[in-house]
Amino acid sequence: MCVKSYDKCGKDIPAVNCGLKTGDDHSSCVGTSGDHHTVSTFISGIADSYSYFKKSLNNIPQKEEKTKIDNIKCRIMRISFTGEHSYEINIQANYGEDLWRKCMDAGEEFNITPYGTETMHLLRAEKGFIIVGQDTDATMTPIDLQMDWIVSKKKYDFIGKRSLYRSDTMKEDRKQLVGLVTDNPSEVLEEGAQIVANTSLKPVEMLGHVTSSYYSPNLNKSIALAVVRGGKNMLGQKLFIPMENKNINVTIVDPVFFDKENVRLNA
Amino acid sequence: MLNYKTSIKGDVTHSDLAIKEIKPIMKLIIRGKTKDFITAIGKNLNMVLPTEANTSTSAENLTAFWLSPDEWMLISNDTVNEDNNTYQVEDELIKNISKVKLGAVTDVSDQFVMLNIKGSKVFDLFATGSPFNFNDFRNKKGSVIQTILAHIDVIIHHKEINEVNLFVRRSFSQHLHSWMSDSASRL
Repeated sequence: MCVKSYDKCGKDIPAVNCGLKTGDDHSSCVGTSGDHHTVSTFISGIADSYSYFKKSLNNIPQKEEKTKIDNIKCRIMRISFTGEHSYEINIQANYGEDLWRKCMDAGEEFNITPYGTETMHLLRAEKGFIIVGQDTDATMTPIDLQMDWIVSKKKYDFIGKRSLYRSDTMKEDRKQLVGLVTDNPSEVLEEGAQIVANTSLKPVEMLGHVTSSYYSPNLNKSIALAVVRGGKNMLGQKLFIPMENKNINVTIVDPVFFDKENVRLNA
Repeated sequence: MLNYKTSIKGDVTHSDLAIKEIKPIMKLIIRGKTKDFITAIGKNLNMVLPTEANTSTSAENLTAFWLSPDEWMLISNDTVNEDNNTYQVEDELIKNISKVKLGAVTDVSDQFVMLNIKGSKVFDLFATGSPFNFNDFRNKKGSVIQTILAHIDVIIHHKEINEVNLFVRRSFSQHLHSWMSDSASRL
């Protein structure tokens, strides 16, 4: 459960007669993760109305429901940032602390355990889920992230369509999201470290950098996400991370390290 | 029942200044540009939205603050029930404004913490941490200003002479409350 703190921001987009207003502080968010049946049963138990989650138990696709918990309006969303079946409960911030206690009490029969943001970050990296701003910067497109599936092919037009399909943003040698594994599985890379292919040519050409790096207990090895120039077509290629006293050997792999078949996600 | 718990711990009282959180207060942001929007708001709320910059209007149960030419904050004059967060005003505005695409209604009740600051040294306190010149503001009941206090965005409503309501984002509220408490002790 966390309450975010950002500075005040609001923006108008006159072309589409649309205004944005920040509402970060209004809500507290509790994320629950686990196998499909357990988490759906848990949510059904604490929500005042749960017709939607009954449907969820029957494997009917679901995205979001506005409901109540103890007569307090909330929004429950089927969002996973952990690689497991997850729901996020957004409730007015002043009820957040008590919602947390209620979740912990209600989850006792399921052996509930709290997890923090570091755990969440590790789990999401194992699954190749990006953090916008950490694994991306303002120059990256969904195509660079190998997430072009997220862009509608049916919509006639949308904000950013022109930029997305410019020849420059379609180039094959742009920096693209990839996974990295180290030759020495216990060696954890430093986030921000540069990636090179050849250290003998001077000046050394930087191909990209490490964006996220963790030791994965599930995989028993070090894993990292990185952006590498032309990385999509470099799977299996060996590269170097030059550090102060040594070069670390890494191999480019798929950014999804764990549960590629979504067995755990849909369990 | 879920217990309601705010971020502010206790009231602050000095001889010439008292700071108290008023809770729970319904707070809505309403946005709209058209004449139909203004008319619909008038009909639904039985009040006229302020059109002059940095002013407010009040009705029996509600007060509206001007925030920008197409944006207002609407607050309940009295505290609402802690046991539920369903507000009739919000429901009606969503039905008659949002759903018919006349404008936007956003619940920000817990986005902002409302602190009531009362006493002859209210504006002396603000002078210690805000770049805004309160000389005109302090003489004009009902005026509203969006400024910074101790580097934090705030909205201040001049409720009565020597009494203001200050709105600060929840994440910054505890820090600002501590800062004001400390600053008030030195006045």
